[in-house]
Amino acid sequence: MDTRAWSAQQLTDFVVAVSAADDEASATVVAVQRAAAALDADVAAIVCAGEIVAAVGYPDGASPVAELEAVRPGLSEAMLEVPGVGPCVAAATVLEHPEGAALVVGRAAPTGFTPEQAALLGAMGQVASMTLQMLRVLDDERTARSKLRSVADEQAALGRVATLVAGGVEEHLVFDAVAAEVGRVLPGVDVAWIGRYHGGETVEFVGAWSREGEATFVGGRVPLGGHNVGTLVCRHNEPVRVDLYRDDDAPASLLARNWARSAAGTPINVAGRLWGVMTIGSREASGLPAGIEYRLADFTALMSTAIANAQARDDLRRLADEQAALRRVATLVARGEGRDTVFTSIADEVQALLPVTRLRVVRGHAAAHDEIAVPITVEGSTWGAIVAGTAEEPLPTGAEEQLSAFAELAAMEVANAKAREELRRIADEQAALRRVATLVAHAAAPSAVFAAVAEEVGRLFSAGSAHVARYDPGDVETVIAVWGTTDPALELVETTVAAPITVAGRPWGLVRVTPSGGDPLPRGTEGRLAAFTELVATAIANAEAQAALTASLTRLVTSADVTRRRIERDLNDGPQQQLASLALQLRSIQRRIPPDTDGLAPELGSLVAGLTGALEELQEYARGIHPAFLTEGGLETALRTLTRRARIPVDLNVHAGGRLSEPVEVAAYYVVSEALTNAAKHAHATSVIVDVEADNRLQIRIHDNGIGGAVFERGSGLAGMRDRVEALGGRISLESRAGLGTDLSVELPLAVGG
Amino acid sequence: VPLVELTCLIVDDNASFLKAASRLLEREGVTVSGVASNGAEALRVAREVKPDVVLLDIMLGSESGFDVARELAAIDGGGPTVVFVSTHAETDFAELIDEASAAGFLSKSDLSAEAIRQVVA
Repeated sequence: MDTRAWSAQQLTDFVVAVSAADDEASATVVAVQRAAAALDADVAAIVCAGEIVAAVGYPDGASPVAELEAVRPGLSEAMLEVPGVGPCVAAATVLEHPEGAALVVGRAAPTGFTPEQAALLGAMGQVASMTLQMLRVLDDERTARSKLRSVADEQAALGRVATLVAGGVEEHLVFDAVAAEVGRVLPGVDVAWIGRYHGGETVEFVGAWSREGEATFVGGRVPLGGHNVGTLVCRHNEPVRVDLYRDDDAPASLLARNWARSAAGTPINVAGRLWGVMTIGSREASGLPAGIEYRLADFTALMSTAIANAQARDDLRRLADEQAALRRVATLVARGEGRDTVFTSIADEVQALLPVTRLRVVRGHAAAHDEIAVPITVEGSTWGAIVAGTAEEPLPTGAEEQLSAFAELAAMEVANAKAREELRRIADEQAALRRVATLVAHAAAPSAVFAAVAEEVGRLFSAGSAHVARYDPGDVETVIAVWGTTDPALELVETTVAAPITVAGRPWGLVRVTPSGGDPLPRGTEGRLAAFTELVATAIANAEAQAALTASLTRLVTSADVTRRRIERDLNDGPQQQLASLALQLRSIQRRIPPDTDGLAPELGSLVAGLTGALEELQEYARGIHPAFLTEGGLETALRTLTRRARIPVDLNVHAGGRLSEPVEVAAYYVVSEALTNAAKHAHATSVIVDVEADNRLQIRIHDNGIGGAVFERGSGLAGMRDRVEALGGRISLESRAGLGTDLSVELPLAVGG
Repeated sequence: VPLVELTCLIVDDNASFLKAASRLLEREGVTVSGVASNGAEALRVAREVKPDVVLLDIMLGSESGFDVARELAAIDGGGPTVVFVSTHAETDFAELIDEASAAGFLSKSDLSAEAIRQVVA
């Protein structure tokens, strides 16, 4: 075979061998082997940019790159020193691909390469370049395809996770799913887990995936510490990679080493705060591709969204629950269900909303160190607090705010109750004042007003006792009305509250309230007492004015009576006596008239008769001015005398019990006298009943069977009767319906002018 | 009581009546054995002269004739017969006169020996 044919055959074999290679790397190796064989070379190599790409004939690790690179193309007499072979004649050809590469061959000296062999080397170099370049393109395309596929897988995984997240699947299912997707999609991952940090001190495993089956550590919790991904991410809040777990005894490290020799992790941040970590691990040291921690970031972003969503949902549900609970409590407050009901409801609702194990509503502040207290503020000052505590974990953030809303309702209840109480108190007070005022308005006796005030203020302030006292001369305080039982021990207690009674600008007395059993009286009691002392003062002033008026009327009536009595007496002592004496003198003269004086005796006799008639008339007048027999014999006798002389039958029942004061006797006499006159004169009665009874007052009742219709007409006898009765502080009432007779009722106090 | 033996004490605070009554009764045959103008004097004279009849004014100044009558009745050995006199009507004092231990009443203007005799009879 000639040289040309041989060369062609060698080149064809070379092309077939090299182009059969799968990729550029194996093609390079084939190219070197085939070149050495075709050229009967002892060594062959492709060098490029200071590196051996492939070599044959050299012992392992003994490829002299610089020496090989120094071999230049052409027929230079370059030499190579090949271990185990000795000096070799070298030849080289530049390869177009890879750029700057050369194919170098060497054969043991002294036999060098023929020009045909050198040309063949050049041709093989060209073929190898083309083939390698073609294979590089194929390799690149394959790589690109593979990359595309893995990106697609990752996108699909992310899509599935996103679907889960968007679907509102529960948190722990999302965590497991994400761990599984991460484990399956990212290269070199044997185990993947999601950890949640608790206060930078522990990490809880909330989701996991393992290539070998179930990840049993989900739900566990370990303290952070040591050189492991979980701890490092927590400390630095950035992607972390550990290519080989060191031997440290931290629990987190021990756990991590159980599952992986190398690991990478990315922080999961939710709403700007470090929430947890997503970790992937490999059974191999440096088992994870470079930069894989950054590819995790896409997953952690989804995790963040999932968690944020879940939290938002939880927040919404919590908010809705909280609002419903607040509404229920508010309804109770609005209905005025009472403090116990409201506070019990608050305790129940809070315990349903928050992980509290104890809760109480207290007056003042009484929180233990491991509890939180939210103040209940009523009218600007602290009334009490809602105190909550938990057995284990601290209360979630925002618990104070939630409790505050309930504290506000509690405050509202307290304020409402106060307002209700205040309303009731005001109503009670108004009612009490009204009752006393009514008494005062009806001119009740001051003693009745005092007693009423003592009782009303005693009851109103739930006092132990209450009394009204009057200042008497010499700094003496005289108790004039008492309500309740006075505990002498409490008399000196400072909480006793008093308010002065001031009448006409001068201190008259006081109303004093003593608390019951040491319960202090409410603040402002003295002010509220003032309304009562004013009524007392009015009653006293009224009574004093009334007494003064009555006294002056009494004086008027009494002095008129005295005058009438004097006139009657004067009539009796003067004209009547004189007329009587004159009559007797005339009769004496009559006795001395001689029998023969015609007509003188009868004349004198008629004179005597005239005098006697005048005397009788005077008697009538005098009796009308003043009944002397009343003064002489008293009311009972006088009334009997009167009724005996009456023009119609009188049924008299009188029990005056001895003599009464003259004004009372005179008034009573006039009442009966006037009534009898009226019965006979105006009412045309045919019978009258008169009942007179002296008890603590003198009661007079007069009933006639006349025509009725009598009224206290101005200037009438009845009106005069009324004036006289009222002047003595008495009362008079008249019932006189037409056809039903007349009932007159009079009540006179026995003591007059007091 | 035999006509000639009727002795009488007149008790009244009015001097002109005492005078007029004494004169009339003396003329009509009654022995006016004494006069008095108050209760104490009346008692003293009554004890002294022991009259058959005492004409006793009901309104004896500040004193009550009824009181004086009770005192006269209490005189040892029995008091004199009392006949009240007054310028007032008998009916005014009927009850008191009934209650008092008196023989009766005579209006002052009706006084006469005959009237006294009728009352004490």
